[in-house]
Amino acid sequence: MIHWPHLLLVLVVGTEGLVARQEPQRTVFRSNASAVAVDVSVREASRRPVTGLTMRDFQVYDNGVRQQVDIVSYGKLPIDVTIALDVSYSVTGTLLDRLRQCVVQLMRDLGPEDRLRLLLFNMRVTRITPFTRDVKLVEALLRNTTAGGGTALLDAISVALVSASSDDRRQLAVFFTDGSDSSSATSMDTLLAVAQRTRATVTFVMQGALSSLVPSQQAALAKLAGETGGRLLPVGPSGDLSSAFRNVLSDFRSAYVLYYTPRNVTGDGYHTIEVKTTRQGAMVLARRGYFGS
Amino acid sequence: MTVRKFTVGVAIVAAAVLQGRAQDSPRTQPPQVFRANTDLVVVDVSVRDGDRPVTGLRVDDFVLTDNDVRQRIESIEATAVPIDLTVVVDLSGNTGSRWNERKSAGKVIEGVQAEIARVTALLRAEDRLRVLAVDRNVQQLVELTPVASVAPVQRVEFDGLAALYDTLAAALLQPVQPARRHVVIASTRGHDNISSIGADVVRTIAERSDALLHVVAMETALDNEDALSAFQCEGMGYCWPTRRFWVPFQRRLFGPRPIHALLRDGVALAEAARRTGGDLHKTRAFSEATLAGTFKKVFEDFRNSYVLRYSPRGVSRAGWHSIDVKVAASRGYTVAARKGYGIDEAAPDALLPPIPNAPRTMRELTAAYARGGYQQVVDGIRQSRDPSQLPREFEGAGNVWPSTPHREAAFALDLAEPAVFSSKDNERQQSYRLLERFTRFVRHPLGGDTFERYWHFAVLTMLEGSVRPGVAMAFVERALDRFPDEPRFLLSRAIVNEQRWAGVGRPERGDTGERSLPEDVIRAYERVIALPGVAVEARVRLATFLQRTGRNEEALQQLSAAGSQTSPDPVVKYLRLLTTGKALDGVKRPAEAIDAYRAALGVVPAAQSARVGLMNALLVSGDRAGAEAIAEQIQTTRDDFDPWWTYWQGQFRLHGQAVARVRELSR
Repeated sequence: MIHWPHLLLVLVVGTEGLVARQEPQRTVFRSNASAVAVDVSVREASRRPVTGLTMRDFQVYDNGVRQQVDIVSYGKLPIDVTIALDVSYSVTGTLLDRLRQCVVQLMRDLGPEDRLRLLLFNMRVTRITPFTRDVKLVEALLRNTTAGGGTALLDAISVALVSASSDDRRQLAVFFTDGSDSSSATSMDTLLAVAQRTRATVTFVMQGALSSLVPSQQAALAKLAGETGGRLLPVGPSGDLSSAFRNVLSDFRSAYVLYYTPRNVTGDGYHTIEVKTTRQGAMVLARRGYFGS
Repeated sequence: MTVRKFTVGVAIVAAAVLQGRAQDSPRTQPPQVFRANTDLVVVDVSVRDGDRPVTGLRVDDFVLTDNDVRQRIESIEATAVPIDLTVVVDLSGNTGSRWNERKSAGKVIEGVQAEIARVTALLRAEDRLRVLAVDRNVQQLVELTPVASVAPVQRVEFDGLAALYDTLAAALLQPVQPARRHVVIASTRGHDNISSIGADVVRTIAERSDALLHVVAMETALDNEDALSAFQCEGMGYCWPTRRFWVPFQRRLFGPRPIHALLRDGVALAEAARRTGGDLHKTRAFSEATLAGTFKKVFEDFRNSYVLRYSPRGVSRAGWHSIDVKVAASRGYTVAARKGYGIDEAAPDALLPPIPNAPRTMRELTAAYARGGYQQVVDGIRQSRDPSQLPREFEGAGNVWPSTPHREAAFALDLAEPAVFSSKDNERQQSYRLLERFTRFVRHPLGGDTFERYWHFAVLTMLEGSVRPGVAMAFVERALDRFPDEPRFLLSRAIVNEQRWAGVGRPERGDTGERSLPEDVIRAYERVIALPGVAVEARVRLATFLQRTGRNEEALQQLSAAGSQTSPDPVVKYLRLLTTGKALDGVKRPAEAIDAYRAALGVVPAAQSARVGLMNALLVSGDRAGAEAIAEQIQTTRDDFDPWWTYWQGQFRLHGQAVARVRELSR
């Protein structure tokens, strides 16, 4: 059984591209094996991704107990990207146009097996297309988008996290928002509980909005992103939104996936995860934990 | 000398209304069938032969003309018609018996109570009484109440300047039900200091009023008052501007030179009373008239009156109608008939072109509005390119419907709405100015009537909906200034406080954007949770506030305290269940939260907020498949409505009803 990182049952039989100790092309697990998969981004101080790391370069701790990394995968698994755009009344027509271009550009950056799903949210959370690779479809759908209404950001995040997706694909959810929330039924505590039980990495792209957010809101969003291994990415009012979106995808794509089978820890409840690397000066960004069941 | 008196009343009513009333009253004739959409004029007539009322007259005995055109009297009723009596007591100036003596409030109230007792002793069970008082403000000491349940007077203002003409106008403008007669008996010291209108305006109002006005001169009081005024002016320099309309009796008797008792205003006032069929009663042979005594004489006429009904034919509908009633072949009978009535309604719809689907110009809009084309008016206003232009034109147009100011106020609501919700500052400011202006215009001089109450409610619901708490709070306070105990207005204050606390919406020009404190919000809701009609909503909103601030246990206590109290409003029902679910989530009772969310979805099946709550709770409880199924529903539902989305808009959901009621009351 593989936890990704929430103990989803995945039979990784004949999975290509996994990097095991001897870098085999194929790895066979016993059908009742239990494993946890963790996305790990390793970067130099200059933010350049560090490549070529093997299992020996990682130290993984589950509830403080060092674990044996079974497999390391790098840039091989297909990615499902969820783009969630805030279309509340604060998003003007010009910004909508720019967002449309960003999403189209991002789709062109997708790998051959990657897919993109588009959610729009104001007070209502709406999926305008399921996972797809059809750029023209997405572009046409975005052309019909108008902005207005309040914002249910936390509800949108929760829905995006809970939405069913294939276990054999990595999950990235990118939210473009000003960070304010006026209409959610979900509290931040509940959202954290949801995030601990789901596996997508959540990143926020926030254009010129951080200054208008109260510190507690900023901290809450940063905590949520950090919990999932994502981050909060501010973009200045005249900043390059398209680059921001593309960088988020590029960073995610250049992450490692570590697999380990938890040992000497109890199965149930919340497990903290800590990932370290032996590479000098490198920064590690990984999900902070998962919920065992 | 033969004393001849008469009483007359006129009412223009929809025939259907009258028919309904006739069915209600066992004393009236069997129901008659009237044509719909036809004006029916009801005329009260008394006929006297000297001091003796003439009874037993039939339809054929009367000759009635409307604008000199003889009319066919459709029915006649000889009956003791129920009376609505308005007593006006003058408490201005010095209410003491001598100029150097001042009475306490208790003594003044005692005097008023005694007057009320004397008058009510003359009334019948089916009659009703209202008491107004003259002072610097128009005071309603007793609202219109059946005689048996007149409440004691609690508080009076007295010894101030006199607003007699304003008070008389307020009395004369009271609406009268078709099957009743309105009598106004007013006492006066004979002077007016601060009314906004003059005696000539009172005369004009009286002419068009359905009331019978009798004015009683308090000559002794005026004499005392006059001595005090002279002393204050000459000795102390306090010389009040005074519109006095008669010279006091004793001065006339002993003064340096004989002058006419009535001055110019007095003549106008006497004429006002006479045009309603009443009179101005002065001292006769050293015997001063009294309220009760005057009413006793007047009341006799109501025991033996005739009610004539006719549908005007052969005369133009709009404009002033002169009425003349005679008894055919009478030999010295005195027949009293009001001198006329006025109609300024538009012509019947059948004669007019259809209302345009979206009227654009102010002329088209007001014409459509006057004919009840509300939806067309709303559509036309919403399609306006510049939402601030129409309010400006409306203000510039002056008095569009001078005889129906309520209609103007109702129209102003529709006119202001698109601008209130505009994203442009200048448009919003224009709408606020318009509403503020009409806030003053709708003020009823007696301290707030049903129309004013609903008008304020329509404004508050609109401003709550626009989520501009800084502006809304100013209007809330104005409404509460007029109706301090109105539960919906108090709830409005609590809601706007919560909006301010949350920092939702955007500050307006001049608004500091100051946040309310949590204690302010709680206090405001706590003040409302015991009030009828809003208790459940106030408690649910308080619980929601507590839940939002992490005080889940307290929220659950509030929801529990609501007990079996229910609200017929599905929005309140839904919010109650949703908040219950969220509070249970907050105290880690997911199984109960799931039940609450499911119950909420029983009220509003596709509501996103309850679905999200349920989805989260299922996931946390370990039901991943259930949570994923609901996530799918949430993302693919397009046309749902979620009451939670309107939470910050407060009572905006009631705005349509409020406006409809205002329109109804304005007609």
